[in-house]
Amino acid sequence: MEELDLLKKHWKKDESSFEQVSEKQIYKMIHKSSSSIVKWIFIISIVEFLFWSVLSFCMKDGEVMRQFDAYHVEHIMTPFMIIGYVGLAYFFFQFYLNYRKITATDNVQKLINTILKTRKKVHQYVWFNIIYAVCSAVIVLFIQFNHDERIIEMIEMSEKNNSTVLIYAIYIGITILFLSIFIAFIWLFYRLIYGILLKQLYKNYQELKKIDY
Amino acid sequence: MSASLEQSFVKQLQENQNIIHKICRLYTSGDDEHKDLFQEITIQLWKAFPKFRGDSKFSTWAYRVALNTAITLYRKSKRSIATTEYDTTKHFFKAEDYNYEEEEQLKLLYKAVYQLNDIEKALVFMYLEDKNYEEIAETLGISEVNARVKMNRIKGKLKKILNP
Repeated sequence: MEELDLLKKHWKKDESSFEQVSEKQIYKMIHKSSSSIVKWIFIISIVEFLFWSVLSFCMKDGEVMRQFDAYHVEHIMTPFMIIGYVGLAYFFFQFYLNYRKITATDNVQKLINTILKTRKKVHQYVWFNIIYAVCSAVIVLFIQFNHDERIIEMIEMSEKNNSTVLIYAIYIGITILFLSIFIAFIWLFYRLIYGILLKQLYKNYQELKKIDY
Repeated sequence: MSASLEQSFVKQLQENQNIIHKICRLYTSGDDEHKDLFQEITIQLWKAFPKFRGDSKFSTWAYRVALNTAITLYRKSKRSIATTEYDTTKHFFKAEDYNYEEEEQLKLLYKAVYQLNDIEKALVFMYLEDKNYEEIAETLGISEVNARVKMNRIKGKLKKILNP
């Protein structure tokens, strides 16, 4: 007899051995909240969207932005901000559409695929924000070099001392340093959260792919 | 969702709960986890129930959702990673048909099945439930030929684990 056939023989007999759950217990269960991976991804994604939105709103009222109002650079800042909001709306809508598609009645491969796609959209949103942050930093630097009186004064002074390159290097260096810390922090956060959450899912997905190719 | 829908769901699940228990037994390694997964499957089934049209049997529909939950949606706790000595054969034998040799073999078999990965367990489950390869392939989202090939490999793998 093949190994699995022995198990099959007993598998059938096994029906009566489980502790039966009553109807009352099932009623209770269906009113409890799910703790599935999808729910966790959804919660984390909402927190992410909120985080980035709050961050951009906070920056809008920040000192730097007030300073920028005085420079009259709306022709640069307004389109840039519009791109930010359009990006937020687009990604949120896409994320929601994908999330709605997740259904436990699909086949296993399709279900994992949909979950990973949903996750990917949020991932793209994070990249969008990182690139947006880098572009913001470049624009802010450019505007400050051209409009900030203190910086202009410093550059003029440095021209007399032949140290203009040093001033530019310090400013650009500090910006790169802050951006690097910011990106490293976000990267670490994602590795940690999603590494733990999606490890098993990726493993099963790879296993299915391996069977089919 | 309406009360009658709720009533119909609870009744059908209560009658077909053994199929869920079997999946829980394969994917968990202790009573608490078994209950935990059973609950998550129940929630997922209830969420998907409005889409259940009744063109297939409740049990057929339920085992697919249950497998999906066990493989993709259920967050395994740390407890399940450590393989505990959970005696899965404790319910198998009734006093009158007790067979020591078979029990030992079954214990080994169960241990071997536990060593398989989530997808392999799903294949084994469907094989034990006498599902045909067309259904196995469709449930997992792979081709029928590949499902057959994989099943043969699993049989080989189990043989190897049992007879090293």
